[in-house]
Amino acid sequence: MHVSCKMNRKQKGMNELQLVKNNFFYLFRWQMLRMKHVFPLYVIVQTLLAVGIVLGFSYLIPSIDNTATLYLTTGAPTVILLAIGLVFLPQGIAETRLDGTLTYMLSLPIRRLYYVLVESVIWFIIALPGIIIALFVAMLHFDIRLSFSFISLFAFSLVGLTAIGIGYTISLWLQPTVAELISQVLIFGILLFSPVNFPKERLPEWLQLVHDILPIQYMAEIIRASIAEEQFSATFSSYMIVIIWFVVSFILCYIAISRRT
Amino acid sequence: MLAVQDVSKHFGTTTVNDAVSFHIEKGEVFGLLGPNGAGKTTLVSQIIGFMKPTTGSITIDQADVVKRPHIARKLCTFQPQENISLSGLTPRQAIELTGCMRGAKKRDVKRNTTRLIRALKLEQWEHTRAERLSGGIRRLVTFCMATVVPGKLVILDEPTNDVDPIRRKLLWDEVRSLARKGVAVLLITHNVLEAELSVDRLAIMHQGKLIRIGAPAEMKQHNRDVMHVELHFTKRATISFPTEMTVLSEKPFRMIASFATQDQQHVMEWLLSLQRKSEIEEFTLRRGTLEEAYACIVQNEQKTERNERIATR
Repeated sequence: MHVSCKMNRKQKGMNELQLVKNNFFYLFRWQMLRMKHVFPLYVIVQTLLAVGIVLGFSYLIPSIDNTATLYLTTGAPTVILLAIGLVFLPQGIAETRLDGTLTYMLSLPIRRLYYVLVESVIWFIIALPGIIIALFVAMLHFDIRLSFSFISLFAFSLVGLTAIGIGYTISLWLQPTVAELISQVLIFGILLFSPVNFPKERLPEWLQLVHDILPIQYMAEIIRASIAEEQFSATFSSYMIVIIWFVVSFILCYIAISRRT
Repeated sequence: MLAVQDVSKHFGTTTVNDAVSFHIEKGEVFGLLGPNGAGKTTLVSQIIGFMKPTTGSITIDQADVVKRPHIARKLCTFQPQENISLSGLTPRQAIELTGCMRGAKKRDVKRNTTRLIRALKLEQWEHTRAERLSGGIRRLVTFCMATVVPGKLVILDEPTNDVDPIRRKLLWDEVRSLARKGVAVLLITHNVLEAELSVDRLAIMHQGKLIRIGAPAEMKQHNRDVMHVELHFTKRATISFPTEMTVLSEKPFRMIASFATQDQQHVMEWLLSLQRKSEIEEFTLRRGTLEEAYACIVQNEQKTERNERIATR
């Protein structure tokens, strides 16, 4: 009796695991098929944006020194990951909310957190080639050395998922049109008014205070430290602040996607 | 299968559903009719767990879906009123993936998809990308998505919008076949004529309340004391109707009027006299249709409400 009960529990657990795997896989396939025609375009745009940040800003600054090139190069991955999470993703979600697709998908018997996870994985895949190419171009163009390790992968994943979590939260808690508008404004905020491509001290004091709360500077810091560890370092508190933003954004996201009116 | 008991939904001071109660049996096709803004979509949103009723209970197969909304998503399949975006997917991919996401075996889903595609004559589009399909075909694809692995309750919101007459009939055959397999079907529609042919029972919703529930034949009893006459002319005519008749529709060569059954002798004499004078080509006498009964029920309800408002002033 005891053995059969244990077996049943094990069988149930296996079935549940199979269902989780299947649901995630089919949802992933659904989203990939929906995006397959725009997927290459997104990858190209991301790559151009990433390379553009590294090279374009260097044209803007007439006598660019080593520190500036390093800032631009190591800032590019953060800008791309933020752009994916806060600009491209919210625009996609606003579209699916307006045409009723999101509501339909949420009527299927799939755990709602999977929607967020599937989207996160897809957008992370879109961001990755651009980041790698941009860093490679920068290494050749500016003759700088960057290093990659498991810490880099962890930092990229953490920053990417946090940006996606925040983007998802904005998209689900605000009206679709408002979320779309905000996402368009955010790209300027990230590029011009965030201490990603330049040190924080150049910003006005009040903006520095704002950035003490926002995760952007900490995201930039941990990415910088993970690929140029000789020149930059990240404190433990920077990791913790980004992790807190990651957890809170995913909790808010889950509440938004599960709530009933 | 579905039991809705005293469900009310308020948004602030606005009441969208007001003490709605009805049930649908296993294998029954139940139609929900009502003018725009009657509260039909809000009611469906509560059944599938997108909205929480302010008061009342909803059970599907005895499971309380107000307390556990995720159960509703397992027990219900749903075809929304709007065509969802399926860009990038072909009808076969969309139908099969939906079936797989509902947890059925891939082999069974493939077999059911093929059967549905054949039954609704969609073979020529099965591998065409959705953005190249017409609205009617996309509508049929979403119908297949809701029925490839049907829930115990299938909710269809205006399933035949934009669908051609031949495939409409095929779709209704599928709905009946679902019911024969024991599925409860909740059909939301404006198309009263189609509803009459397809549903076992129906309910009329008006301003958030269910004002009538019954079989189509029972609904038609509502205006059993009223007869309708359709007059056909070969030339444009000006006819003055007897006072006991009410003109319902006036077109250049065709008019429809109603009268009380008790006046039928007088009306018949008038009609025959018109025919003798060749003022009319022909006429048809008939009982009211379900559509006319529906319009009559809703109009009476509006009239009662107006009178009540005046009385309270």
